[in-house]
Amino acid sequence: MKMKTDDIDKLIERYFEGETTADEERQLRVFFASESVPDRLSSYKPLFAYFDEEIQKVHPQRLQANEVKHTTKLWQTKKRWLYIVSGAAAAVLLLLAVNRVWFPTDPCYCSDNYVVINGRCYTDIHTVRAMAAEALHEVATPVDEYFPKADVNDRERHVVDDQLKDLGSMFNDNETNE
Amino acid sequence: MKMEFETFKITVLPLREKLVSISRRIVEDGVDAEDIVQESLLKLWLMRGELDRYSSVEAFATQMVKNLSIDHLRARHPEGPPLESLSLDSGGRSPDELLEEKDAVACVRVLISQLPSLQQAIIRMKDIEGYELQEIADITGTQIEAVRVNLSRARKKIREQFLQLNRQ
Repeated sequence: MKMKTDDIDKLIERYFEGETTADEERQLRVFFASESVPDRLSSYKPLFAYFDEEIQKVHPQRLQANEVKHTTKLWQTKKRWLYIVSGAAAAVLLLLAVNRVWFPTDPCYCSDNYVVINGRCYTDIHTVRAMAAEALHEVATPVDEYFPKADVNDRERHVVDDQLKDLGSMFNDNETNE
Repeated sequence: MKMEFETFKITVLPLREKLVSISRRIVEDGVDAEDIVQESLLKLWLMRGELDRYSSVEAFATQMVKNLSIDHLRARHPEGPPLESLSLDSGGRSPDELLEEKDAVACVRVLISQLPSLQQAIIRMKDIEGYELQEIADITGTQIEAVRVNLSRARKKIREQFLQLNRQ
């Protein structure tokens, strides 16, 4: 850190008037610990060296008093939380990993594409594509086109309808008989 | 710090008046009693984390003020001992001996330990613990100007004595 000697002289004067802030006193300590102290000021070196020494004793974790006390404290609380959170995260990850090793999931769900038919899972890409295309087609087509009124298999539909009607009347008969 | 100071303000600072009158009865001097109480308050602040261990903070503070007042009576040297006698009570090595041995830092340590104890406490709070004047004034229940004057006197005295020793 470079400092003009004028500034240092003013700072020293204010220091002995008791007017410097904690931060300015830190600047003084840093200056007097450096190599750039002119001879006429060198007699102040031991005073600030003494404070540096004492600060090291009181706050051994602080390097050269470069940080203000309160920020150090804040950082310590932050660091503690960081440890707790990262510990918890590591535990969750470990659990997931163990779970994965002991209970491997259905290979089906690891695959990008799958289809479930009657509760069974298919990953075969052709089956999946076919089912997907059919589903898309079903969604994209209007109802009338999908079940055209004049169907080619019109007769078959009539047969089915008749059978359904018969079934219905059978049930109705059963109910009336009882 | 803020939270701790709120607690300190509620549990310790209200005892101030009482402590001053206890000290005044022993040292028979209002100004000295005031200094002793300020010093006690700073000491109580620095050990604020351990105050819970005492069943009564008031009893503890009272005892501390009494002891400091008696110490003060024993060593009636309001301006500190003269330089010539420093060698008598600096643990064997006098400041000028230390200077000859190029141990200027140890010399500063001895000079500070010769200051009146309130000034020592204020220097400790400001230069080592890193508190601002306002914070020290809040803790000691005094005006910021009073703290500044005391701090300035302490620092100037160290400078004066140190430079004098250097010239010898």
